Amino acid sequence: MEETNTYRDEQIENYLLGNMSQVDRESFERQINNDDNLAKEVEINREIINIIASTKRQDLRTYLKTSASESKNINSSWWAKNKYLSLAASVLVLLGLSVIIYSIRGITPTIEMVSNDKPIDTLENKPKVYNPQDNEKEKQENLAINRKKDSNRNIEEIDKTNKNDQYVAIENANGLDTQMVVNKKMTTTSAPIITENEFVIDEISSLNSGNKLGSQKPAQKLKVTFKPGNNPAYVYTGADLILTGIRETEVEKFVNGINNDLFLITNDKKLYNLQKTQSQQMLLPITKQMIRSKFGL
Amino acid sequence: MSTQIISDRDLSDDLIINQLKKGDQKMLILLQKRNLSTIRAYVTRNQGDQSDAEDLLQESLIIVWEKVRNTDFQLTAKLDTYIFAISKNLWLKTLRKMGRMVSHSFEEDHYSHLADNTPDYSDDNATIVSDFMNKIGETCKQLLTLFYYEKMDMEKIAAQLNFANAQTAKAKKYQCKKKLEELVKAQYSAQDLLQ
Repeated sequence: MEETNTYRDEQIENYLLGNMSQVDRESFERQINNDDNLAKEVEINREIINIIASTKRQDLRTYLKTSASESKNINSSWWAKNKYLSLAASVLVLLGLSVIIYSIRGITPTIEMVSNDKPIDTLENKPKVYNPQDNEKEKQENLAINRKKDSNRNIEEIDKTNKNDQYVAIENANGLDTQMVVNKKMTTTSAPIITENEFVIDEISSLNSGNKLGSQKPAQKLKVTFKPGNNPAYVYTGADLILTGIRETEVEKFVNGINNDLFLITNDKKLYNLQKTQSQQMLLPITKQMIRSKFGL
Repeated sequence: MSTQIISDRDLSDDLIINQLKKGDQKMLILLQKRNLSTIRAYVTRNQGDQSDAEDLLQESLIIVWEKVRNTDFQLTAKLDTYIFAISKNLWLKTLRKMGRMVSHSFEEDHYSHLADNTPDYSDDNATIVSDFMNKIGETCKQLLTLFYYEKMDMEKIAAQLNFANAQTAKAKKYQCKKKLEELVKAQYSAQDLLQ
């Protein structure tokens, strides 16, 4: 009798845990329909499984809530215990910010949307666009930028590698083989599709480290984070990108191009195209030749 | 020269999913941290507050945990996108339950299908359930959870809970289940009496 019960229990378990074949399942369901006691047993077993699952879920909830509140407590208790330290830190941060603002002046994280018809129009309106005193190289660079009159021609077309998540900073225009860099994945936490001009610069801050290759200048890292563009439903929390080798004082502005391309323009009119590429290690120099052929120089 | 910063965000979805499959609950904490700001922004824009957002994300992560571990899970979008889709579906259900108006445009978007048939466990009767499970003892609780929830086989359960072998674990499971069954039946009888 006990063996029969065990067999029946196992059948019920297999049925409820989805371990039966289609044929066995259908046959068992017919038995349930014809046997009230069996139907009741199945219901009780179903309830037991639900109770076990609910208990586990409750454990997971507690685990997550504890972690969340611990995280909050760590943050709040640190600030509470270190009131004076916090105050001192705040003063230092303010001082630091003043120094940075004073030293970089020209860097304003402009939020600028560039439409398809005028992809990098802002480049054309710079006051110091072409200086006859500049050396030949600079002339060509400036010409490359300024002679871009035709709206069908845009920098973005130079290199169509914006398929994946990695960003690479590409030195452009002067053709020098300096380093550029890269960094992190851009993670879209909500929207799977990034449409044109969805992101804008949110924050620029400097970090102290790194050396510019081929230069005696002290280098700084420039940290750029993104925030949603026009559509507030899209939040890019992980989208930061770090450039090394460009001093922040050298940055004139950032411009959003079409197809999510981001351009960085330095004070000496170098153009850096920050593009998505297939590989993190992939550097795609845009050469003078490319500029020439693109703009008919 | 390149600079790389390794952080939680650099963990690939595949890696996280593999860890979840192995039962690594720390991944849930990581996902919680990573997605909270997005879910909070979404909920507070749509008739909820921060506390709602935290609860919602926790429920969503429990669903992710179960989907990843108990089914032939195939991720067709980024994991964070999937979590957002689940959260959104759950939040819509919550709003409807509360009788709040939900606009048409709010309901529809191009990725809500990612979380079709989102279950809702927030109505679990936690008090009664935890009472039952506490009464059967910690070993029974662990054993039944491993077998019925984690769907672990008896050999692994025996190894994990230090039983002599799979047969011993199976016999113990039978006893534990009977204990729980008696409690459930007693609860049913009490309900019948009340009705």
